[in-house]
Amino acid sequence: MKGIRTGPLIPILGLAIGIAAGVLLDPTVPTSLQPYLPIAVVAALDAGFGGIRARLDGIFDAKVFVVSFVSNIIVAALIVFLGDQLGVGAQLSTAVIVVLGIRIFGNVAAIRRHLFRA
Amino acid sequence: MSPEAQAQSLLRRLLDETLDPGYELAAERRTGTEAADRSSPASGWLERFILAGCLLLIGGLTTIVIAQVRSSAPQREELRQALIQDIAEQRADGDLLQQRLVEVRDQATRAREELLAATSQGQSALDELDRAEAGAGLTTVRGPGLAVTLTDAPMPEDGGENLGRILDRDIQSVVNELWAAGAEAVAIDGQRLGPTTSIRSAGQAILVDFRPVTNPYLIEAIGPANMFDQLLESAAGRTLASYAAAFGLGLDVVQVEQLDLQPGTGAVITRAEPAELQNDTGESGP
Repeated sequence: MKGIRTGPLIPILGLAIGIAAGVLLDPTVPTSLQPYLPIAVVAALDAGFGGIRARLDGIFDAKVFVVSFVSNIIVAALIVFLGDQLGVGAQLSTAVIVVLGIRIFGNVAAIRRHLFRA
Repeated sequence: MSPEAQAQSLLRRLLDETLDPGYELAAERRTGTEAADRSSPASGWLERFILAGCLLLIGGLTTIVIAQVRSSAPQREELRQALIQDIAEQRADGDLLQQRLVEVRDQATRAREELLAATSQGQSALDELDRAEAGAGLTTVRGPGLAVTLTDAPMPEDGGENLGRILDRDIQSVVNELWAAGAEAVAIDGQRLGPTTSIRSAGQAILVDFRPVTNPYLIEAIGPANMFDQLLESAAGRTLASYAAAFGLGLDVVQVEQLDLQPGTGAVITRAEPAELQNDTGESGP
């Protein structure tokens, strides 16, 4: 696999720059967006761990990753928005967190099996 | 498929297929077409930069949200403390003003008494005023009486609704029975009741003339010796006693030798008319 051979330098650099930007710039989030951010983060983390696992499985595909990443965030935010409008925002958020949490957990377990063979 | 099997397969899929199926599909497509273009460096670089962008977003979003949550928690606590302090300050201000009002009213009363006592007509007006003020709870009253203490039942351990909470109605009924039994003066938590005093709830608090009174509620009354029996035998007394037995609220009635009830602050003069002046001062009036 090409991705493994050339190393994940640029993506990891991106991650580092993102964290640094978040810490250093300390941007204020508009109040209207605040309810959607935490769930967007969980969705993004799900896509991220999915990507790492796919890479270790040897079937990573950048296009699939980007599409799943973007759609995950948008759908998660949309679900929360819709739930807020319907008055069940908290319950729907919980549902999204549960499903994404299970997926993250499973993917991290798979990554762990790849890395430690255990 | 039976509903159980369906539910099971749904759960199994949720637990087993944690990876986006899109990756497998893409891998199958690739092996099918034996893609030669994957080796082209241009698409590789582009892909990797987009990938970097996504990871940048992940890192940035995560840190932003963490910073957000961290900064808003102490803010809320600060705000709460500031509000609590505001309440304490305002209450202290209110108490100070209340005290000042009593002082000024005392001065005004003394001045009025001096002036009115100078004439016979003034003296009769003064007598009438004294009677009215005694009725309106604007004078200090000393004497034997009752002290009734009402206490909320302790909170139930299962966190359910506390049925033994004292309500405004309980206090109202005790006060009404005390008046009916001939009480001359009644005070709740030291606050004297006048003819227009209201006792009512606002949310969880009980307000007497718009000032909050708190658990335990101490109702003091000066009046005849038989108030004790009358209160306990009244409908209100019996009802409260049964509540005390059933829900655990506290009802404690004791006779007190000497009570000292301070004047209330309630009276506002809304109507006044000049008395017919007799010509005995010689210099009053045009």
